[in-house]
Amino acid sequence: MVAEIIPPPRKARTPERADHSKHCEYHKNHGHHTEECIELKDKIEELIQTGQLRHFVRGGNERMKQSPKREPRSGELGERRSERFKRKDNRRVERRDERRGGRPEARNERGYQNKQSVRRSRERSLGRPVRDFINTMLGGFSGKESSSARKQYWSNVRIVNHVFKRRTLPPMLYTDEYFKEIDPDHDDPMVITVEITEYTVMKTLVDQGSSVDILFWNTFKRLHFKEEDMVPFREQIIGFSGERG
Amino acid sequence: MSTKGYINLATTFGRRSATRKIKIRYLVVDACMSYNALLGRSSLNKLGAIVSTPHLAMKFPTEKGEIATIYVNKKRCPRVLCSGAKDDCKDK
Repeated sequence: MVAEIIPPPRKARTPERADHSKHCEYHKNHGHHTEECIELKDKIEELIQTGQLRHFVRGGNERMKQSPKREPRSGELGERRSERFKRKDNRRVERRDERRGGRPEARNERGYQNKQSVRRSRERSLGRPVRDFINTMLGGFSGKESSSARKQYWSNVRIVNHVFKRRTLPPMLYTDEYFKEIDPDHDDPMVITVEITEYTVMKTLVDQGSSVDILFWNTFKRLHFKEEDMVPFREQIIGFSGERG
Repeated sequence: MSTKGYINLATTFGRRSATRKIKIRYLVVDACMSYNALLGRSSLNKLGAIVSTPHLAMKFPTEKGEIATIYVNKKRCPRVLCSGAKDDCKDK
């Protein structure tokens, strides 16, 4: 029953030098008591914050109604935690009663829990339960032309010890004086003028959604470049915004 | 949409003395767009540009370490003014 609402932990073996007098019901191993289990505490706290255990939390109902996102004060948190663990033994019984009663709310919770395991970590970061996730794939040229270069980059990102040179930028502030538009509700694109080599190129779109910098073939020709000047690179780019070719 | 190739070109942002020149690797694409070029995240990051779409402005540190602001072109409507890459497409 408990396992249904709290997803089981990742398989954790008892560490070699662990204290075998302590047993964790949640991890099913030795080394610490269930009451001391940090991971379990976090899991329960998460459930309380999302309102799924509100009938076990003292005053939880009112609190949830008043301000669902309210952060508990540190003292309060400790108090709630200890109370929760006092009630722990009763939980099993109470939950079973619910099942017999077949409350619709409880059933929903359970149906929802089935797909839960994948979402767990993401939900923690959002701090609330969500129905589903829509994943976005992104990628692109990004100046790293070979797939091995991209892999190298991403493996560097993942290694914690890899030191990226710290970058500094001066603070850049926009105040109301920078509003030069007449229409406050404009939705104009960011189109600027830049200089490419010796040419002034107008109508350069600043597109923060794009992973590539693009020069259109006709502009390329007007900059008096020839086909030999560029490095051939024939690949598809997808999700090209706006117009069709 | 298939690409033709890529080319590294020095690109200057800003006007008069408040400029910054960076090398941008452009993908050359044969497409009919009303724009001449498109700047993506990588070059904006390289420039250190902070873009504000409500202000229609972009700030970046110049070579002297000052902060330059460039605004969106006054004559900006891509359909009407200054010929973009699209106008040549009709010839093909």
